[in-house]
Amino acid sequence: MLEQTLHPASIAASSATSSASEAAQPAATPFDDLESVVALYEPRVFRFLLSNLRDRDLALSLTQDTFLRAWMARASFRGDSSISTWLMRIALNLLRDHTRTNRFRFWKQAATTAVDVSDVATHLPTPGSSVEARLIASEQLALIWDTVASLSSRQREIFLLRFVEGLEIPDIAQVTTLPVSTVKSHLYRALGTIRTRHSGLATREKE
Amino acid sequence: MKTQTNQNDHLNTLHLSHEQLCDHLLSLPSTGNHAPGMKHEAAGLRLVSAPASEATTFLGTNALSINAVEDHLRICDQCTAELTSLQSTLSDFRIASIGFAAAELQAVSDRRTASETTQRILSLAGKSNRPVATRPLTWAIAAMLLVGATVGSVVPLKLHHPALILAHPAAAGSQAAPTAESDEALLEEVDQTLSTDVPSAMKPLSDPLANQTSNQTTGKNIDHE
Repeated sequence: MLEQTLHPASIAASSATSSASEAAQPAATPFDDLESVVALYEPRVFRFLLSNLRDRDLALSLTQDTFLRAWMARASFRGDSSISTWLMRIALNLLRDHTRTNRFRFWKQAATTAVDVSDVATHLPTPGSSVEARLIASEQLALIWDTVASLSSRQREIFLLRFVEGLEIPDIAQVTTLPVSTVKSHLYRALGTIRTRHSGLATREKE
Repeated sequence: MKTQTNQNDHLNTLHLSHEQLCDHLLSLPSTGNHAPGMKHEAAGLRLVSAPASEATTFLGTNALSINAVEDHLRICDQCTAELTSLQSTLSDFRIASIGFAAAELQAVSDRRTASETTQRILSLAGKSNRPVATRPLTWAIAAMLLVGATVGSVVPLKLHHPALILAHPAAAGSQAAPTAESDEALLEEVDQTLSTDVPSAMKPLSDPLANQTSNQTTGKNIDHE
């Protein structure tokens, strides 16, 4: 909805009547209204970073950095991709830069703001279900949570983009700058790992 | 047609391969496969009965194979159960992740407004937009200050031996007091010597009566006694 109103095409159309002297000024971008962009896309960027990092403070810090980078590079946004895709690509690059450093490895071990799966489990959709069903759901969530953490960073990024952010495969390819076939390969492998452990859990539950 | 029949026969007798299962899972709409709270059985029913048009959008998967997989799922309880359970778990994971992230962000948002966030980003952008040339200068100044502080704190200890530094005041303290006293006494003596008009050795000659007067006084005292 807002994606449409913020899209450069709409801005270009509205500014078509502007004078020649105005044309000499830098072109308007959706990021000129930074407050609207932050309000609209912060939840998604934060969610993606939190899912990957599992650290609130780090996720918040990198979310802010994402919008800072976007603001500083706003002149290079030509509208070839959606704002969301562009922001997610920036967030992913920041995430990769961050995970490369030793500082991250240290904080990964010592983070006091690290997310616990039990906190996430409180948001499971279990209205009206039995205690046993809720326990099973919590156990399955913990299993997926641990399995996702054990995936390679590339597989995890792609898995979360698909199964949490709900991006289509061509969009994931655009965000990760990988070929579609490579994205599919990573998804197959990630799902293979999850399926193996999930099947093991289902077998244990039956026993 | 014969190929399709063979494929269907193959799918009916064997279970779905990992790729087929993944393709089917990925071909479903990505924005939430079922509503929060929907029972697993209902989700599975919707999964199996999903229209082919919904699934054919997946890249590289043609309608034929999708239809074949759906045909297999209609008759194979094992594959349907596994797919339904996996899809339900992934859906729960998605919903829980989204709900948790939203709650976390809301907790932060309660402490600050969107405009505050924007202002902070813009202020950071302002700092980052400073000319790059000033940054090496800043670092150079910081390095110089650091070196200066380090040299200032280390070098005096190296150049001046602590024992010597401590010995000087002690020695000066013990020797300075007597020297000052003797100097003052000497000066007083010199002053007295200079202030007297006649040297002490010449006093009897300069006042010959003084000795007599003193003698008379002494004699009177004796007479009184």
